[in-house]
Order: sequence, then structure tokens, then C-alpha cells
Amino acid sequence: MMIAMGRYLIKRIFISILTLLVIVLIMFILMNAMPGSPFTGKHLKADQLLVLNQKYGLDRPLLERYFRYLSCMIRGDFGVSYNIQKNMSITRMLQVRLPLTIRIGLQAMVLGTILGLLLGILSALKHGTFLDPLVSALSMLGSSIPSFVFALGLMYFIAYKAGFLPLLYTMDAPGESTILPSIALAMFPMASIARLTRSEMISVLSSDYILLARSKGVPESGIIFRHALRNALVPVLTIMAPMLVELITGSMVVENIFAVPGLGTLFVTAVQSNDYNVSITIMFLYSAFYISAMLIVDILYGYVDPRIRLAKGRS
Amino acid sequence: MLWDRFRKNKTAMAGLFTILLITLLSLAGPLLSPYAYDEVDVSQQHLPPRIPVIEKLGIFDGIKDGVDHYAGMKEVYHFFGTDTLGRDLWVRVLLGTRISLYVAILAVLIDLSIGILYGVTAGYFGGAADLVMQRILEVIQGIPSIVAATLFMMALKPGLAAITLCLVLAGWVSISLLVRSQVLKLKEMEYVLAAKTLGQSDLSIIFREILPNAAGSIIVMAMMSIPQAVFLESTLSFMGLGIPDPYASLGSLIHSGFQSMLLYPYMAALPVFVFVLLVLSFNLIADGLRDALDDEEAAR
Repeated sequence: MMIAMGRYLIKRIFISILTLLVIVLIMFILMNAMPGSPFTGKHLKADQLLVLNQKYGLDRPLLERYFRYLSCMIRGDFGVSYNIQKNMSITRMLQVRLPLTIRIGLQAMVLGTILGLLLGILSALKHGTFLDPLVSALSMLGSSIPSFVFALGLMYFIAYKAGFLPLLYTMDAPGESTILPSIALAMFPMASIARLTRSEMISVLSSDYILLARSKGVPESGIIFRHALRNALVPVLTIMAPMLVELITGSMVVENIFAVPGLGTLFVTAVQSNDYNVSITIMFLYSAFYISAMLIVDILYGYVDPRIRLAKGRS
Repeated sequence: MLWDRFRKNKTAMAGLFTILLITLLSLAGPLLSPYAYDEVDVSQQHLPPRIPVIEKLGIFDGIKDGVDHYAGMKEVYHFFGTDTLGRDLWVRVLLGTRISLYVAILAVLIDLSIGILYGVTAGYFGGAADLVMQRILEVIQGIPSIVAATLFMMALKPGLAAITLCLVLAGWVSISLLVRSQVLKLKEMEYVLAAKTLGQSDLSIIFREILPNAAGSIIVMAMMSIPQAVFLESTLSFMGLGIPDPYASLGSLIHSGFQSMLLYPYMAALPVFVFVLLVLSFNLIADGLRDALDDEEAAR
């Protein structure tokens, strides 16, 4: 069984790397297909262009350039920005922005997961009372309303009308400035986790082994947290993919609304000002993050649920 | 049948009626309004909403912060107010709804055609083709949809065709996977075996036996894809990669409303309201359909 698991793992890692290579290839080809060249000076003569192209290796065949590009990316050299901060190294631009985006994303995930689990457990335990449909309606709303709408609402009512918390990101209060964006981003994970936990808990709580645990006199809290929740959590892993996609997508817009100087804001600016190097770097980072997160989820999934481990190992 | 079960679900039916109402309004509404979606009128900038009859109740009466912004304009009614260029927002929201719906539904229809073609080829004929196609799907699945969409939006000329193409790129994989797994399952059914034994051709087995039986879950999936497409389109519009002015989608309206939201909250609130109503209704329908399908399968 261990061998099967190992083979499956190797296959998954191989596919992940392949995916990343394909993404970089597509980005590279598209960037080459886009109009214009880095050398646009009017007075450049044909022989000067030749020299410039030679100097930067642009006269080499496409495939060779691709591999050079790729090896630079892997070493963390993403080139320089064209328009946003002219000739600034992108790695340096990212140094301040990336931690901020990661912080907001993590806060949102933690908040969303905790609230979602609590709501899900609560409504499963109160199945049949008024609380249950209330939570269901809440989670339906939470997954139907995009995070930027929550962001606009929070901004208008909490920051502007009530005057709590900063309206826009300020350097003076970096911690407080991340609260509203995190809440706006936490709504989708909260809603989807609450929904799934509820339905899983209801089916787990009526299963035979819970009945057995009850009849053996295990205290109610032990039943909920040790036995029921543990099994109800497994399917939550399956919705990690849509949740991460929503988080990435949401962070671009939410960061923009609150003027957070993070990755998302930089990305939108880069896209709007045609700064190809910056936009491609960020797309690469998003994809790399998503692919590695999916890989971890897959491994975890095989680890928690032996049935999947076996089935996948065999195929 | 599926419809009979679906009909009994009150919230899902409410969703269906809301969608029908919004669609009807977005198609017919602009004809009933004296304004055009691109009619700029600098004398009527930033007007708050004013609706006849309802204005007597003290809401939607054109009065904001105690000031009647319609003073001297007795017969002027802008149901949702006007934007920073003095364009009528009611007409623009209806136009935006129409474009958002059109783009999302068109994208899902294309997703469906590609998905069925891909899923049937991979699932029914199987073999080496299936193996290769599965590997391709696995690679494509690893690309976050927003990244794929932005990448192509940057390379293409912005407009309806480009945005539809991006939504298709983001959505076709999940439908293909679903069709394939359904075909794989149904292929082993006894009635398919019987049809084969009777000498039916592959095409007739696919269209007469397999696809009609897979239709339920494919429809549910398509229904769930529509709000996702509306979501993605609005995000792209919000990033400035959507429908160019003077056209509008709900996303671009929300974006331009957001820019003057603190002073004129109605400019963002009204398109947001329509947007949420639309997505919520689609989700309610999809949920209702899924429940109806589950019941149907349990009853079999």
C-alpha cells in the first residue's frame, strides 16, 4: 500500500510541475504574440536593433529563450517593471506586497473556517429548530454575494458611516487596516464550510458508530469533537479548490477597494497599464500557489481517508 | 418527472420567477424608458432615484440630504437616478443585466457543447484518447480560472467576444469532467448493453440512450455554471478588463458606482442589488434542481 501511495504521489508531483511549465509556456507565447517590442526608440537603425537584440538574446530561437526565461523564474529573477516603477526589480516590488496579501488571505481563511465550522455544527445540532434554516439562508447568501459586494458594504457602513476602522489602508495602522478586507474575504469560505459541515454532521450524527459511542457513555462534547467532527471534516477538503480560487479572485478586487498595497492591487495596476513583466510574474505566483495548495490537499486527502488512498494508488 | 419535483420547491420556483422577471425587464425595459443608455446630459448629473407614485411614500422621491435635486424638473423621472455623466441608471442597469446574462448564458452554452463533445469522446470511446485527454484536463485544471481569463483578456481586444471566450476558457473543464464520468457510468448500464446487442450504432446509443439519461446532472451543472460565469465576468469588469464604455455590464456598473460610492451610495447599491438578486436566484434554481434530481434517483 505504501508503494502505491508513493507512486501516486510521484505522479501528482509530476503533473503539478508539468502544469506550471505549461502555464509559463502559454504566458511566454502570448507575451511574444503581443504587439510591440522592448526597443521602440524612433531613431534606432536596423543595425542598432540587431545589436540590441543580440545583447538581450532576443535573436535566439523561441524554445531556447523559453528555457532561459524559465530558469530565471525558478531562480526568483522575474525581471524589471516597464511602467509602474520603471526598471525596478520585480522581486523587490514583491517584498513588501506579498506578506500583506498572505496576511489578509490567512486571516480570512482562519476566520472563515472557524465561523463556518461553528455555524455548521450549531445548525446540525439544532436541526429542526429555527436556527437551522437561518444558518442555511445565511450560507446561501454568503455564497451568492461576491466578496467585493461585502467589501463595499463594510466600507460604507462600518468604516464610513460608523467610523470604526480605517476606510482605506494606512501605513499608520497596518493591523487594523487589514481587518475589513479579511472579513470581506472570509464570507465565502464561511458560507461554504458552514453548508458542508452542516450536512455532513447531520449524516454522521445519525450513523451507527455515534450511536455506539453514545451507548458507551462518551460525553456529548467528546462525541461532537472527537467522533463526529473528525469525520465531517474530510469532505471540507474537497471544496478547498473552489475556495482558494474564490480567495485569489476576491483578493484582487477587495485589495483594490480598500487600496491595500498588496499583490492584487499591483496585479490590477499592471494589467491596466500593460506592464507585461509584472502581470506575468503575479500570474505565475498565483498559479504556483494554487497548484502547490492543491497538491497538499490531495496528499492530505489520501492521508485522512484510506479508501481514497487505496483507490487512487491502484489506478 | 424532474419538473414535477422541482415545481414543489417553493424557493427554487421563486428563483425561477425572479430570473424570468429580470430577463423580461432587461429585454423590454429600455423600450419603455425615454432615455438611451449612452445619452449624456450634463444638466442632470448625480440625480438621486425618483419613481412616480412611490415618491409620495417618501422614498425614491429625488430628495437627498434634505435637498430636492429635481427642483425645476417636474416631469423628469430617473428610476435609479443618474451617473456622473448624467446618464439614466435605470436604463444602464437594464442594459448591464442584459449583457451580463447574455455573456454568461452564451458562455455556458458553448461550455456545454464542448463539454459534451469532449466528455463523450473520452468517456464512450475511451482507450488511448481518454488517457491523453485526461492528462490534458489535469494540467488545465491546475490553472486558476481568473489567471487564464486575465491572460487572454490582455491579449485580446476587449469586447463581448473576448469576454465570452474567457468565460468559456474558465468553465469548460468542469462540464467535460462531469459528462465523461456520467458517460462512463451509463455505458455499463443494461439498457445500453441491450441496445448494443440489438446492433444500434454508436451514435444512436450516445444520443438515444446515454445523453438523455445524463441530461439531469448536466443541466444542474450548467445551472451552477451560470452564476459562476456572472461572478467572473463582474470581477473582470471590476478590474477594467470587461465591457468597454458606453456599454455596461453589472460588474462595470458596480465598479463605476464604487468610485463615487461615498457621496452617491445609490450608484453602487442599485446595480449590486440586481446582481445579488440574479446570482441568488440562479443558485436557488440550481439547488432546487439538484435536490429534485437526488429525489428522482432515490425513487428509482
